[in-house]
Amino acid sequence: MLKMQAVNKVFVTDLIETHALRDFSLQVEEGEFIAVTGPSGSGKTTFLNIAGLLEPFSSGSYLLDGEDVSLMSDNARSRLRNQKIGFIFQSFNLIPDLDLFDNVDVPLRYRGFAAGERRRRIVRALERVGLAARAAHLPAQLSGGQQQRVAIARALAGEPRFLLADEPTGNLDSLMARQVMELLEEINRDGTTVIMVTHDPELALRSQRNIQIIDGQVNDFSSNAAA
Amino acid sequence: MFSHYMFAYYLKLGIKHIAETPVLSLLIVTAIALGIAVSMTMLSLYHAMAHNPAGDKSGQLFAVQLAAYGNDLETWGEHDGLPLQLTHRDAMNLRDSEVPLRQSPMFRLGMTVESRVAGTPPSADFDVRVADRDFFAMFGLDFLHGEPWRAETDSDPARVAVISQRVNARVFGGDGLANNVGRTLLMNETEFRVVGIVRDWHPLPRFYDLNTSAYPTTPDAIFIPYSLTPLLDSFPRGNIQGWNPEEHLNNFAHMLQAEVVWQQYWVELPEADSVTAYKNYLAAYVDQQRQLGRFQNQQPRGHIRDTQQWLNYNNVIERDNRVMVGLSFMFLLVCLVNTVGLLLARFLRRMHEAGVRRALGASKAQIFQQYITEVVVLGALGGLAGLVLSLGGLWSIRQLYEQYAPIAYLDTSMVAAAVAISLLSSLLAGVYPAYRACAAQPSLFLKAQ
Amino acid sequence: MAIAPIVRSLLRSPAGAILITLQIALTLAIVSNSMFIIQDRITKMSRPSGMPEEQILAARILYFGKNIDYAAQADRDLQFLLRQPGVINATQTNSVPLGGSGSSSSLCRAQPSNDPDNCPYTVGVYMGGRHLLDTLGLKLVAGRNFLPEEVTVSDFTGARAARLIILSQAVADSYFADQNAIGKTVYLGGRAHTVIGIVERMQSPWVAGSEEQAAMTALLPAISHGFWTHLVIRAEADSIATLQRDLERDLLQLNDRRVVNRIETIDDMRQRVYANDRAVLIILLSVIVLLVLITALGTGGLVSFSVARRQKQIGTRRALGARKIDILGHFLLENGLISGAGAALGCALAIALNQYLMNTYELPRIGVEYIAAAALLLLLIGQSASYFPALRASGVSPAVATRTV
Repeated sequence: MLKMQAVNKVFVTDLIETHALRDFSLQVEEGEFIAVTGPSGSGKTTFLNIAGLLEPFSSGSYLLDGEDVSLMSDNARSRLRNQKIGFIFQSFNLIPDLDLFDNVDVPLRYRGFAAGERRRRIVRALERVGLAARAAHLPAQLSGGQQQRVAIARALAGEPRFLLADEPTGNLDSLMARQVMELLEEINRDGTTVIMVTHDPELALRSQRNIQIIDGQVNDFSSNAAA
Repeated sequence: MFSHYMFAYYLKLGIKHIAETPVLSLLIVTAIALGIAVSMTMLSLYHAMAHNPAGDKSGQLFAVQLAAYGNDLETWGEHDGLPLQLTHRDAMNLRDSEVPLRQSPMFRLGMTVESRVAGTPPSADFDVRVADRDFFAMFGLDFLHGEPWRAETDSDPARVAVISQRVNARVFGGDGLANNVGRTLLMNETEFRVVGIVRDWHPLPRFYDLNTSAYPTTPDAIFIPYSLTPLLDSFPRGNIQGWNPEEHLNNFAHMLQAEVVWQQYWVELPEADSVTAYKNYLAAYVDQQRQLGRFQNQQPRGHIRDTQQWLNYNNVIERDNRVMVGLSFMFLLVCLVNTVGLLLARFLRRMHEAGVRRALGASKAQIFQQYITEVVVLGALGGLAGLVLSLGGLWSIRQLYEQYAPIAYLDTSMVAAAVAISLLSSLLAGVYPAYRACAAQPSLFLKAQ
Repeated sequence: MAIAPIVRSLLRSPAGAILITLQIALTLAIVSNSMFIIQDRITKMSRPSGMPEEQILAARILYFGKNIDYAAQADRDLQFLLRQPGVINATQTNSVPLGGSGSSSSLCRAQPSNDPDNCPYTVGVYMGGRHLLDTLGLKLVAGRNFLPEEVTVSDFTGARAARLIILSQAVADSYFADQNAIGKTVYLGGRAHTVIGIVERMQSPWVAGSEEQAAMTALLPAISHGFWTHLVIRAEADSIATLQRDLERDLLQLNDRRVVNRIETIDDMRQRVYANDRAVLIILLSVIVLLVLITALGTGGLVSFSVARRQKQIGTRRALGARKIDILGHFLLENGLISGAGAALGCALAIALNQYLMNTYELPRIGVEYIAAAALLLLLIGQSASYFPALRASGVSPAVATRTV
C-alpha cells in the first residue's frame, strides 16, 4: 500500500548535514489509522512531507499504491497528490480571499472535473463537515474548529485513498479538537487510510497503530489496536 | 503630537526600512524620478517659452496695430480683424505723435557684412534691425562703448550703426569687447560709422518682432536708423502681406507707399494717463485716415497690447509644446499610480510590524506619521534624482531644437517647482497606503501565522 | 483555468488590482495617442515632394556688391554649372519645394471678390524659366511647358507680367474637378492666367499645414533678377556630393561680391524643415519607452510582492495537487485579467484623450488600430513582467504548506 524502505533524508547546509530521516522503513496497509508521534525535531513533519510527496528524499525507496515515487517527475507527483492524497494542516491553510466553496474547489480544479461534478462534490463535502450552509463565508469569519472542518472537507472532496494530517488539532481547544478527531475516525471507518502526526499522547492512543519517530527512525507500537 | 523628537525617530525608521528593501525602494524612487524628470523637462521648456523678456517694463511697452485695409473688407489680418504689422506710411505717420515717452517703428533686414580681419569671408548671418533711437532705451540694450545715434539722426538720416559684441568680434577681430566706436563698417559695399557697441542681446521669445519665428536662432546684431529706410533699397526679412490683390510691388520705393504691411511699431506708455491719451490719439488718427479715403473697412480702429498681451495674442507657445506638457503630466500621473501600488505593497508587507507597534501603544496617527515620513524620504530621493535626470532631458531638448537651445535650462523657479511637485506628489501617493497600513486591526496580525 | 474564483478573490481585496488597472489604462491612453501623433508626423515627413530628390542640389545667393548685372551673372553661373560633370540641368528660381521660404498668393476662380468660394486656397507660387520643370524633375501630366518667349524677365518681382500658369494636379482637381483644366482661366494676384500645364506633384515650400495645403502650388513663367535668388541644380546622384562641396568656392570664383549659403540637398532641407516634427517624434518615442518601462517595473514589482505574500497559499495549492505550470498559469491569468480590465478602461480613456486633443488642438481622430496596438503591447508587457515572479512562484516547494509560521 504505502511502503517505505530504508528512506534517508539529509538536509545539507553550508556547515552541517542533518539527517532528518535515517533508514526509515514503514509499511501502511489500506484502511489503517496511524498516529505518528515523537519529540519535536525528530523528523515527524519530514516523514509526512515525504509520504505526501511534498518533498523528495535522498535515498531508499517509496512505493505508493505499488508505484515507485522516487522515479516520478514533479508533474506526476502533483497528479498523484491530487488524486490519492488529502492533506490536513495544523494551521488549516485555507486561502483567505476565497470563500469556503472556492476553497474546497481548489483541488477539484486541478483534477479537471467538470463544473457540475465539482459542485456536487463540494456540496457533499461541506455537508459532511456540517458547513454547507456557510459555503459563501470567508475563512476569517469562522472559528478555528470550523476552519479545520473546511480543510477536512477540502481534503475529502477529491475522495483520496490517504488522508495525511499534520497536527490537525494543534491549534484547537479540546472541545473542537475532539470534534475534529471524531470526524477523522468517521472518515477512516468509511475506508480512507489516515496517517496523523500528533504530539498529543491521548490522541495517539485512540488510533489503531501508533508509531514513534525518534532521531529519524521508526519505533513501531503496532499493538494498541484495541481502541 | 508630531514632535520634533518623534520626527527624528520616524526619519531614522524610514531610512532603515529603505536601506533594508533596496529593490522595492529603488523601484519607487525610479518611478518618482522618471515622473519628475519627464514633467520637469517639458514644463521647463514651456516655462522658458512663456518667458516675458520685457520684465518690469512689460506693462509699459505696447505693440501698435491698425485695421488699415480697405475695399469694404469685413475682416483681414488676425481673427480679430487686425493685422500684426503696419504699412510704412502708417509707421511714418505714427512717429509724429507726441504722446509716447518713447516709440519706434522697426523692421528686420538682411545685409552682408564684410570683415576687416584678413581671411574672414563676408557674412550674411547677421540680422539688421532698422529702428529709431528710442529702441535702445525702450528695450534696455546694454552699451559697452559709445551710445545710440543722436536724436537728429531720426529725422536727418546718417549712415551710422550700433553693433553687437559678436559683430564687433567678427568685423574687427578680438573678443568683441574692444572699443571700435568711430570705425567703419562695410555692409552691402556701403560704409556705416559705428557709434555704439552693445552687449549681445537675444531676448527669447523675440517679443518685439514675432514674425516668421518667435524663437529665431539669429538675434538682431546690427542696428541702423529708421530714417535710412528710403535709401536702403533692400527687401526686409519677414512677412510682407497685402489685402489688395491689385497691389503689385514694382520696387522698393513702391513698397514704401503701398498698402502692404511689413513693419512693427512699439510705444512706451509709462502711466495710465498716457495709455488713454495714446488710445485717443490712435482713434483720431484712424478717423483722419478714413477722411483721406484709407481704412475703408467695416471695423476701422487702432489697438495697443502690452507685452504680455502681445505674447498671448501671438500664441508664442506652439501646439506641440502644449500637447507635450499635458502628456508629460499624464506621465507623472502614471508614475504616481505606480508609486501608490508599490507603497501599498511595501506597507502591507509590514502589517505585522505595524500590529506590534499598535499593541505596544502606538496610535493610528503615529503609525500614519511614521509611514508618511518614510514616503517623504522616498519622495525627496525621487525628486532629487528626477531633477538630475531633467538636466539630461533638457540637454536632449537643446540637441533636438536649435531654436530653444538658448533657453532650455532649469531656472531656480523650476527647481523649486520640481521639489514642490515631488514632495506633493509623493505625499499624495503615500496617503492611501499609509492609511491602509494604520487602519488594520492590530490583533489580526498578531494572531495569524 | 479557474477564472471565476480568481475574479472573486481579486474583487475581495481590489486595491492592488485597481492600481494596476488604472496604471495600464492611463498608459494605454498616452501610448496610443502618442503612437498616433508619431504616425501623423511620419506621414507628414514622408509626403512626396514630386522631385527626384537624390538628384537635386539647391543654394541661395545673396549679392552685396553694388554694381552687379544680376542677369548676366546668372547666365555665367548657369553656363559654368552646366559644364560640370554629372550636371543634367540648372536654373534659377524664387524658391524650392521644402525650402522653407517663398511666395504665396490666393488663387481665385474669377476676379477677386468678397465671395469666400471664389478664392478657396492660397497656393505656393514658384517662378522660373522653362528649365525649372526639368531641373526640379517634376512630372508634367497634361499640357505643355513654357516656351522661351513666354518667360518674362524683370529686375524685381517678375510675376506681374506673367499670363500663363502651370498648376499642380491637386490645384487642378480642386478648382476644375473632372473638367480638363488646360486652357481654363484662373486669377492670381488679381490677373487672369491661362492654364497651360499640369504637374503630377509639386510640394509647397512650407511644410506646416495640412497634406491638402502642401500640394497646392502653381508655377509662373517669370524670372526676376534681384539681389537674392535660388539656384537649383539637377545632376546624377553620384555627382551631388562633389557639387555640394565645391559650389560655394566655384561660384565665388566667378563673382565674390556675394554670399552663397544654404547649399542643401533635399535631404538637408528635410532635416531642417522637419526638425520640429522629428523632435516631437523622438520625445514621444522616449515617453512611450519610459512609460512601458515604468509599467513593466511596476507590474513586475507588484506581482513579486503578491507572490512573496502568498508563499503559504502557493505551497498549499501545490500540496493539493497543483503542478508548477498551474501556479505559473494562475499568476499569469490573474495578471492577464487585471491588464485586460486596464486595457478595456484604457480604450475608453484613449478615445476621451483624443477627443480632448481634437477639440483643443485640432488633432485628427485616432484610428482604432493605434488603440488596439497599444492594448496588445501593454498586455504583452504585463505578461512578460509577471512571467519571472510567476516562475518564482511556481518554484515554491509544496512543503511550505506544512511549515508552521
